[in-house]
Amino acid sequence: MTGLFRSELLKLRTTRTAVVLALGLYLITGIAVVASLIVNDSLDRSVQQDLPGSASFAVLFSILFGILVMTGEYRHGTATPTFLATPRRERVVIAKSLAAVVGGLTLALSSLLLVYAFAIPWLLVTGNSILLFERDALRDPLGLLVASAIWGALGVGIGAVVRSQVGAMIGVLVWFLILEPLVGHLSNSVSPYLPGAGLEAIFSGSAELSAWAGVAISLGYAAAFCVAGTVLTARRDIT
Amino acid sequence: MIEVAGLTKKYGSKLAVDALDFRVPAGTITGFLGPNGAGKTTTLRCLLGLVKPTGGAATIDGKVYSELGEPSKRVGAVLEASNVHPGRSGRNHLRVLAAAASIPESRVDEVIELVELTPVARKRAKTYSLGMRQRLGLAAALLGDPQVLILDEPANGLDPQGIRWLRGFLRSMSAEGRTVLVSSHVLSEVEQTVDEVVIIHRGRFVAHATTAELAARVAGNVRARSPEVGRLREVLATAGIVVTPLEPDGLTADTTAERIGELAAANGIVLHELVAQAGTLEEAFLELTGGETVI
Repeated sequence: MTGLFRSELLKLRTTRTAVVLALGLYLITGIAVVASLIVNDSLDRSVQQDLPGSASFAVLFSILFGILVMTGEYRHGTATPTFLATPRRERVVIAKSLAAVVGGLTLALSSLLLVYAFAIPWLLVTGNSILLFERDALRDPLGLLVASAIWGALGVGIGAVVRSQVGAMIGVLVWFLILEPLVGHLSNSVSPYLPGAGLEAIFSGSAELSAWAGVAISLGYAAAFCVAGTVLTARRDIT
Repeated sequence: MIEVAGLTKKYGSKLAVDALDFRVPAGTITGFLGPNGAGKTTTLRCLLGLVKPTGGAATIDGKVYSELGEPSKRVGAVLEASNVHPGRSGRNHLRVLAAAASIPESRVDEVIELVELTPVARKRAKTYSLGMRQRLGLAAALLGDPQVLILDEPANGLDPQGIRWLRGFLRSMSAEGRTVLVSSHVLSEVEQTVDEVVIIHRGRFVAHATTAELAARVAGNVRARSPEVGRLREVLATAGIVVTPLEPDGLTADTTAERIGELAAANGIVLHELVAQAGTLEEAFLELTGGETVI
């Protein structure tokens, strides 16, 4: 299993996919943090607390990353050599989920560091005190790390179920932009437990859900998709 | 030993492999032949645990692929030349596979050398020619130094030089005592390399023979000339051999040259000519598979 995990990390380091994805995330994060530093007149406690939110695209990029990790095997035909080397296919899905957790954590952590790298000098130069590391200001960054790790694994699970790279990505976007709001609109009793709502709860907590419940819901979806993806991957023919 | 027993695979209602039986003895190099769509790839993918049989079994040393333990160290396979990420270098592709199979990294450069890919090993795979990709596939198959090699259409898309290289390569693999199963839809690609052939058509078993047996099977025809052709004809007919006269002083007989020579000597008949009319393997192949092949 350690060899397999090493193999998956090596896969990530030997193509440009991960780097391109990370650069895209840093670009968005950089624009977001600079914008909020410029736009806000006073960089008081509440504004500083919201600054790490500039890195929140890390969650979306983590699920895309997970999808790429899994579906890339089918897209490029590398599923064949991968499953020849490891015929116990469930192990491959597990190793990929772990790799995507590491990937999600890395994306979240590095984009948070980018936020601090912009914010701290800016705050110092403008003569503000730095309140970024107060207890309340660390809640969002922590949530971001947890959410990105879980959503990385969720991406692998979805990719394993769907297999088509484009299909999985479009499916995820359609769900979060169109279907989940629609379902939420139709049924108020279900809406707090949908994946997007679970994610939101990790950060804000809601009337119905605490942050911990949000983590539990997100973990539940990730586990469900990873289990379904593992079962399907083990059963399907690789042609 | 590779054993395929009653192997059946249905895709929906389409029967791709139909109760196929054959064995490849250890240490031989066997051609797995049939026209395109005969079920060769499906059979090999069943053998490698990538495709689940609908019925029957395909085993290597008595075990299905997934139960071989460390499969990369026992079986090497090349299925499609394009099974590599275009943005990854050939060397990194091999490093990834070596890590997954717990094979030391030093082996990666060894196999690269073995398939003569060293100059381009660090270039991205999308810059590779088809021949280079085939060789990268072979390198991957050899990572675990396996005793069994399974190759699906390795000559596909290779230029004549590449095919010659492949022949030499397969012979050297066989000379080292490995068991090789190599599929092709073109007999001439493998006939100079293989010991035996297994022929399938429309998912069904057609023939399993040595290349010599296969040629004898279609041709089986010897031309002889003799000043005493009349007596030779009688002798052969008495021995139960079907003879066709050939004017003015010859005949063709449905037997081997050895048999005619021995009978002629035993009866003191002078022979002026004795030619085994070798029907080509290609003819045999075409006849057995109903002519549906690309040459």
